Amino acid sequence: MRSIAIAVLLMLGATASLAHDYRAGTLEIGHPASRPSTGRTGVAYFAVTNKGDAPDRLTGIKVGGGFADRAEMHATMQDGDVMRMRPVQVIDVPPGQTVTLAPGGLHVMLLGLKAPLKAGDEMPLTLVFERAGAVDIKVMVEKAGATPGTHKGH
Amino acid sequence: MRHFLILLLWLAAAPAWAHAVLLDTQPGDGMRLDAAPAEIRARFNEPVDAIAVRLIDAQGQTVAGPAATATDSTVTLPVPANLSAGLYIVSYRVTSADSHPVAGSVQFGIGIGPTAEGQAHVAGHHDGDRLSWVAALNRALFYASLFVAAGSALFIVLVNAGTPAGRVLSGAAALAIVTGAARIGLQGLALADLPAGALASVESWRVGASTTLGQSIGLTIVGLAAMLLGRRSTPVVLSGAIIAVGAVALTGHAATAQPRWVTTPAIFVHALCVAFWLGALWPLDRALARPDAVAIVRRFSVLAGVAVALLVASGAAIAANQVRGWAPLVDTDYGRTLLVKLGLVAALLLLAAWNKWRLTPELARGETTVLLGQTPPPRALNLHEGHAHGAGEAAAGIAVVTSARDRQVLIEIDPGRAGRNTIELTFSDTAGRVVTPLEVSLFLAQSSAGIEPILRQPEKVANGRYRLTGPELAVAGRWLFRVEMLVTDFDRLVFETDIDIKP
Ligand SMILES: [Cu+2]
Repeated sequence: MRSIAIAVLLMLGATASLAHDYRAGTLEIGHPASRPSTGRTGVAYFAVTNKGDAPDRLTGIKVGGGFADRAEMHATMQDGDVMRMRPVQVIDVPPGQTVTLAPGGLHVMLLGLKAPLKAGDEMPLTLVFERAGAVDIKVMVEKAGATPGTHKGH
Repeated sequence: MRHFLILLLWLAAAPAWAHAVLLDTQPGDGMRLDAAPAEIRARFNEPVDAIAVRLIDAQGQTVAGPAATATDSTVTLPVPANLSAGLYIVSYRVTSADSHPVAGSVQFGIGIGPTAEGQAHVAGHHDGDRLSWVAALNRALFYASLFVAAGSALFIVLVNAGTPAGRVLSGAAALAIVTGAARIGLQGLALADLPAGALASVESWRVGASTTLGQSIGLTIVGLAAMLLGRRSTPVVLSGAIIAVGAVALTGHAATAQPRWVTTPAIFVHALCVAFWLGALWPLDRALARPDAVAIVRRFSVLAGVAVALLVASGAAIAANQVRGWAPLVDTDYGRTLLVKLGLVAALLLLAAWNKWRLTPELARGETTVLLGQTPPPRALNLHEGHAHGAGEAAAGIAVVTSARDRQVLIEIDPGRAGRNTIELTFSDTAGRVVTPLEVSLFLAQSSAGIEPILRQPEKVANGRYRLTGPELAVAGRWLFRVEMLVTDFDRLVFETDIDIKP
């Protein structure tokens, strides 16, 4: 029975990850995902939608369960071949706006991983919002090909 | 007599957009003084009432004001004698005759200069400047030829069918089609940030065509083609002209500003009237040589009077809509363009009245200038060859990312403490690819310290990257950052965020 359910989820592909959605007040956090890492640095992605009228902002990310030393929010700016990455303290989530952390753009950097991430791993993270407060999410490590793009530069 | 009537009409309509505009201040914005001034004066374009004018020092303390005296159009704030050296912000909030509040800030220093020294220009800028010059010239040609083509059609249909303006019409329509198509490609270049050579590629045209500007020009080209192909049929020529000019109302930040039921029809009417005015010049000149010249001119005068009235009314609606809301009048770019335009219109109407509609070359030139200043204020297209800059710079100071629609701006502030800071803005899409705006404005305000918005134009340092170095963030606390990005000629995005500046 369980294998059938997994098979169905696999067939559905990306839609399967819709099951991993979280709500906090007027915020919706969708599709938290990561991908396998080779070294001690990993990434995490998700999308935040603000369905309310008031602005909110992501001000920090905490690592649960000690699977990594810390998590940073990073912005990547790509100009042709030149990529620039830097930690940011705040990611705004304006009302009515969906802010997407995705390969190539904004992302969560997981620093000092205790072990490389493998497909199927789940990592607990706590997102700290200025208004909505702390939101616990689980990030699923998907297959390497599941999320396109590369994450070099570290 | 009719002409003075038109003039009166225009004068009566003028106050509709007459919100106060700051002309200058003593001391001026960015000035370095050796000694404290005895008073601060701000001169506006019209009489104002001073609601609050403050002199704020670098610690955020109000050292003078908020009570100030307004005499006619000048606001005066006495300054204490013991003012020490340092940076100061003059924050003003006044109302004009129509009780529209106008607010803003300027900055000066005593003993130190507040302006950024040595904001070095980045090499490789000049190629882009040359291309933007080409794009601006192309756009001017496009508007001129479009309005001449549609205007001559309107003249032939509405005033005199016998005027031999067919060749001018065809030539102008063909030129408008060519320059319009070129605009789509140039727009694509600017959007996709491609080098000039890419104009030969499919990519730049595909990107350009996907914008509202591309679609608007596409429709214009359809209208122009109909005019050319259906030359023998009056209804086809007339509807082609209306479509070609009306398409202008489909795009642009003036045309798409809220409420659209006001702005879109206003731009539509405005553009049609301008086309009629400009396009009528040449056929009217030809008509003067004809035996029935008096009848033609009389007929034109009636229509021109209607056109001017519509022009003024729609222009007033557009302008009133544009200069409404959050401190829009400190955006003196628009304000100044508007004033220049009004000055030209006034000069034109006076000239026309004096010359009893005698068409002079001056009129032709003046009208063209007005035209080019219409609908979108002229702005330079920025086209730049991609050039590399160093990666992996130190992550100093504060960094905040804020989004609007499908664009993001990374705001970096170094060192992020009260005083002199370098503010960098990097624009990108949601996938992190930098995008280069046509124009960037930054408003900085701190309401708790009584600092009204300071407007700054950051300087482009790389693709999609803008920098401002200066003492604007003079006071610690929560600052409002409002970044305005001109995505295309007609599409403006506004980002707003609060950033805490430490003492
Ligand atoms: Cu990173």
